[in-house]
Amino acid sequence: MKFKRRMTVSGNIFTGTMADIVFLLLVFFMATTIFKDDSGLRIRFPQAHPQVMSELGKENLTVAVWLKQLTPGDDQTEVVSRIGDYDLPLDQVAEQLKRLADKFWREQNKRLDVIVLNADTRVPMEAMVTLFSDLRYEELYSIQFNAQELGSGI
Amino acid sequence: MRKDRPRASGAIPDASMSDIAFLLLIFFLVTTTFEVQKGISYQLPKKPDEQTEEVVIDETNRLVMTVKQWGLGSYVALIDQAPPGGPLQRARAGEDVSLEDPTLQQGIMTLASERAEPMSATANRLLSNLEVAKGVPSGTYSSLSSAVQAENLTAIVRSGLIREAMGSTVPVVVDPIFGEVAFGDTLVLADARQGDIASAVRESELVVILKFFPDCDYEGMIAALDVIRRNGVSRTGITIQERLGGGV
Repeated sequence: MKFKRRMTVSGNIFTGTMADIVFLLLVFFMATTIFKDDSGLRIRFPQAHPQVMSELGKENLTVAVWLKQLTPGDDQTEVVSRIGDYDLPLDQVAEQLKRLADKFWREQNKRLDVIVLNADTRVPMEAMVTLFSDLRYEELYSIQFNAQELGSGI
Repeated sequence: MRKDRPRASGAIPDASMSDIAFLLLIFFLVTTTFEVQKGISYQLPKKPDEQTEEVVIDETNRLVMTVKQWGLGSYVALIDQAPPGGPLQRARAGEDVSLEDPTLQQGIMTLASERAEPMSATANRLLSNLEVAKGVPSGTYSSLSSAVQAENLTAIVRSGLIREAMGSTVPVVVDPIFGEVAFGDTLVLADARQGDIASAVRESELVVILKFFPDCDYEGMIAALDVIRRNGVSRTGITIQERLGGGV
């Protein structure tokens, strides 16, 4: 007796659109990925306990200043600083920050809230205190010393 | 007889494409991090001008320490002046203590907590923070209680680290609006809709002056600030200790 073969239900998932899905996902991630702003100087951050550290809210207008010695550890070399894309010697930092603060006020009617200092651990205190008095002279009082959480990082 | 020649198929096997898609997706989900910048916030003192004189802090509220570098990554403090009759004394020559020394830290916390500011000072600061947060000119509210009534705010006290560190010995005051407030606690005014609106910490009136050797590393300043902030000090001065004996 010949059995009539029953119609088997095809078990194949239609894979034709999979390539479309992959490309869509790829394009989505390409469009939304934001790379960390790596334009700062390569410094070693000091460490501090998390309890004494605070985060800045996004509503604060801040400017980040990077500071390090040309040769870290060698006190004879000068301290260089970077604000945004520009490198400047330490003695011009406060002046430049004041100019930026005035620009923000004139153009966007926003006050510069905090100046974030990213300084290498080995910068001598003499240079830092000179910077502080320059900032005071320019009437920029609110600063934040960025640090790593104790026990983390390199 | 017809024999079907096996034809080489031109199709790339696409069965694994979904696997690759999911792997990539999971990879990005897991590795994406949002970098947050954290640091120690600091307020520089106002610029001295002709009108304001340099305020001299009374010696009972003043602790002066010289901080110098002992080696790579280690820093020591020498106490120059301390409030008389307190746990810390002026150090004799050579009596450096490590910043991590528990006696030093305990001494600082004791001095700071003994000089916890009165509630009125914290309340005034909270009131001005509230005025700033609400965008109203200063002096709009006559008192904290009238502000709380007028704006329908909730008064909350958030426990600070000092309360945990000191336990039952922490100085506490009872306030009509906030209840029990210990030294180091944060007073918060919150709204049902917006959440926290303004806050102020009950600080100490102790001022710690840190004098650094000019060649001391910046790391030492962070370490010193870390130690004194953890022990309840908020008012700090930072200066350079000029080297004795001249030199370049």
